[in-house]
Order: sequence, then C-alpha cells, then structure tokens
Amino acid sequence: MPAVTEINWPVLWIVVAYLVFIIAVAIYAGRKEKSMTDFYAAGMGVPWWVVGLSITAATMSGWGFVGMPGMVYQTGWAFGAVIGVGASTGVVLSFYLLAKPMRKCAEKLGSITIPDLLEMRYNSSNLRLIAAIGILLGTVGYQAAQYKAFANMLQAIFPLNYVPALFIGVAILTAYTIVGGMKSVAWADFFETLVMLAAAGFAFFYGMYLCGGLTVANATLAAKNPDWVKLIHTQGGPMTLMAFFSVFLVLGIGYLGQPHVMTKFYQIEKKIGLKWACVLACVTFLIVITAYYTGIWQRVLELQGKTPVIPHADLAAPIFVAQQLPAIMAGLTFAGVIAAIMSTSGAFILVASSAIVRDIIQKYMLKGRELDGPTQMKWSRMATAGVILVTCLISIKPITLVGWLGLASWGIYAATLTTPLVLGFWWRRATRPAAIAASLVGLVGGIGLFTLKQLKIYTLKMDPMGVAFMAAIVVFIVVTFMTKEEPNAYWD
Amino acid sequence: MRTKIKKEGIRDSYTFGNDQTKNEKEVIIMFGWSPGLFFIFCIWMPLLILFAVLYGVYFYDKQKKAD
Repeated sequence: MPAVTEINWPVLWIVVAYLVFIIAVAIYAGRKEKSMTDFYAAGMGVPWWVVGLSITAATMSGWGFVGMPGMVYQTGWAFGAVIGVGASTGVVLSFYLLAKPMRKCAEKLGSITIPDLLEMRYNSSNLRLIAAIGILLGTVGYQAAQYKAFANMLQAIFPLNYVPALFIGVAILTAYTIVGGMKSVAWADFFETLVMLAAAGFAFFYGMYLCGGLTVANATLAAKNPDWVKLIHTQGGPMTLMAFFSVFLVLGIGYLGQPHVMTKFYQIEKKIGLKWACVLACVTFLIVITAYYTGIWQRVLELQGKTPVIPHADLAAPIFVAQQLPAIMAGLTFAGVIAAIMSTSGAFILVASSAIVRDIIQKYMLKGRELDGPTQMKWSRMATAGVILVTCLISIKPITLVGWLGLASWGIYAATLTTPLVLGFWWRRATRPAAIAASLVGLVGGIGLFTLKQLKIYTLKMDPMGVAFMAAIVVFIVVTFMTKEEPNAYWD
Repeated sequence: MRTKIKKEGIRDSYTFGNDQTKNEKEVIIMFGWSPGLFFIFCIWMPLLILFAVLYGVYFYDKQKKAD
C-alpha cells in the first residue's frame, strides 16, 4: 500500500528543478570524457574543494540518508552514533594513511582502480581478480541499498507502491550514470553536499524543536526503551559492547577499503589540495550525519502522539521530511538526498563496471592487452548497464533494511580490500601470499557469516563482517611472517 | 516518570517503568544522553576535526615517501 495518498506537489517541483540541473551538469561533464581515465577517475582534474565535498557525499549516500535513520528509528541513538563517528574517523584516517600514497601511485604508474594498486604492490594478477570480485559483490548489495532508498524517497512524494517506485528510480539513475562518468558524479556530489549541509542541519534542529528539545526527546525515548538513549545497549538491544567494537572496526578502519570513496583521491587536480580536502570532508561529513537523527525525531513524535506510526522503518526519514518540514526545506532535502543517491549510485556503478572491464577483462583475461579508446568506452558503458540491470532485479525484494544491506556491503569491501591495501603501503615486509590469503578470508568469510546470520545460524551480536575483517588482519600478519619478503614496485 | 538527582557531573536521571529499583537507575548526563553518547558527540567528534586540521598543517608534509 502506498505510504502517502496524494502527490506532494511543492516538494515535487523543487526536486524536479534540482534534478534537471544535476542532469545538465552530468551531460556537460560527460561530453568532455574521451578516455577510460576520464570516465573512471575524472582525468585527475577536479579541484580539492569539490573532491572534499564529493568524499562526504559518497560516504553519506542513500544508505546514510534513508538507511541510517531507519536503523536509528529502530534502535535509538547508538547505531547513528557508532556509524557516524566510525565513518568520520575513517574519513580522517584515510587521508593520514592512503591519500598521498594512492595519489602518488596514480601519478607515477597510471593506476586508476584499487585492484590496479594491489596488483602493482604485490605483483599478483590473482589478487587483482579477488579484489575485483569483492568489489563487484559489494557493489551489488550497496547498490541494492541505494535503489531501495531511492524508491522509499519516491514513495514519500508519490502515492506509489515500492516496485513501480523502484523502476522509476532506476531509470533516472541509469540515465544519469551512463551519460556522465566520474567527473559528472564529482560535480553533482559538490552541489548535493551543499544542499545537504543546509537541509540536514535544518532538519536536525527543526526536528529537535518539534519534539520539545533534546532533553525532552530523550526522556520520551528513555521512558519507552532505556536502550534508545545509550551508546551500549544493556537491556536486550542489538548494540552490545562487542557489537559496538565490530561495527566501529568495519566502519572506521574498513572505511579505508571503500573503493567508491578511495578513488576520489585520484581525481584531485593538485596533490597538495589533499591537505585541505581532509578538513573539508571531515567537517562537512560531521554536519550531514545529523540527518541520521531524523529517525529519532520521527520516533519521538510518534511516541508523543503527534504523528501516525510509519509502516516500515526505512520510511522514517522520507516521511518525517515530507510531513514535518516546511515545503521549501522538504523539497531541498529530498532533492539533496536523491542527488546523494544518484551520485553514490553513479560512483558505485562506475567502480563495479571498472572492475569488470579493466580488472577482469582487460588486465586478467586479456593479460593486460590495451583496448582502443572507443572499444574501452563501449565495454565500459555495457558493463555499467549490466551491473544496473542485475542489481535492479535483486532490489525488487531486498532481504533486509537499507541500513543492514549497506553495512554488509561496506563490510565486504572492508574485509576484502582494506588489509592488503593499507598494510601494503605501510609495511614493506607485507608479502603476496599474505595479501591473497587475507583477501580470500575476508571475502569468503564475510559473505559466509552474513549468509549464516540471515539463516539465523550465526547468532552472535558481533557484526559478521567485523569478524571476517579481524580474521583477515590476523591471517595477513601471520602469513607475512611465515613467507619470504619480495621486491615490489611501490617500495623499490 | 522523571526524577532529578543532584550529583556532581550528573544532571538528570530517568527512571523507567513502574517497577524501578535503585540498581536499575541509568546514569544520564547532558541532554538526556548516556555518558557514552555524550562522549561520542561532544568529545570524539570535535577531536576528529582537530586531527583533520593537523593533517593539513603538519602531517601531510611529513609523509616524504609519498612525494
């Protein structure tokens, strides 16, 4: 049954105007793309302030705007706090540990994907293949989360059921991604983050005002469930101490293996700009995560009897924004969120298609034989369309909330990519067998434990991806000490 | 039901339900958050901004190998 009974026209007009603008930017940026590097890495020509805001937008995404409020609505402040602080810690750590080395590799060796970097560091095409498979699988889940989030947003504007809303959303996202490329994504991210900074900040304080203030809101929550105002749940909630550490590990340290974010380091025009992109990304991300807490306001207003109970947790943010905020702010918020979904979705699809075309076909199957420009572009666009089609079919009946889907996909990236990537740049002794073993353990272990959790066989409170990630780190260190150090292109 | 407890560093304490016992009272500080949430929002997050600034003004230039 539709979540609303009539079209929200004021919100719709603002959203349409904004989307027309963003698509015009995509078309303009797309016209300048002539090579694969342009398509995937924006040709290293994006100013630092656009990259900084683009990192915020890609980190936040539809998962952040729709999935997180849904999880916060269900479980209280804890998940929003852990994920917000985890990801923002990851933003800062990524600059400290990866930004400069990755940018250097891109300049010197022409690397444009994370599998490129891993192959270069460890001299292993098998590792490239494992990384590419991890990226593809992670993308499927994350992209499904984006599509579902987009459909939920459309459901709050139009009287639509989920499946028609999904197909409309996928059509818009497809047009946007295939026409543009990374540069269009980067510029759309920039505008979207500006809008979201204003909208998230306004929604946070306005929601607090509607609830009667933060203290009153928390008292209302605590009266219903004490766990909802705690960081560590002690009365049966899911955020136990172990859950906190495992989720923080996946979000904070695992951030360093997120391909859709890490590729932003390649795009920056001048390396020195990384200095200030870090500050900008950190500060803006900490502001936009206030959007998570629309889930709190929706729950409090329901408990206070000021609004009807929503039918599904993933509708918490869309319904709160559509029904509680003034029309102009609701329109801007929707536009910003939809643009966030568009840009992250675009980034993910491009990362996935680059994994297929560049990492699997060109580098692994064709043994590095170069394709000519038009053939590269043709394959890239076909792979992009293929990934969108498969993910759309999976999104028709997603297995869980947007928030959990996104967390699992984030975890696949973290468990597969983070350990060999980070330790490879900072530990000279790190060896090829260790990287292959750790990536395999992370990938297979993460997907296996997540599947067992869905089947109710894995019942621990620790996040399954966190367990796989920790196992990958241990395996990497042990195997490195058991094997002989080898020369490699980065350190030598 | 809400009661106020006057203790150093503790502003409010909420009681939950009607069968509240002394041991079940939750320590709630500023804004009705638990100490953990207060730490995350009011201490950890500002520290992150400090570290981001430190990267720009100091640590970026220290990573010589990546130049």
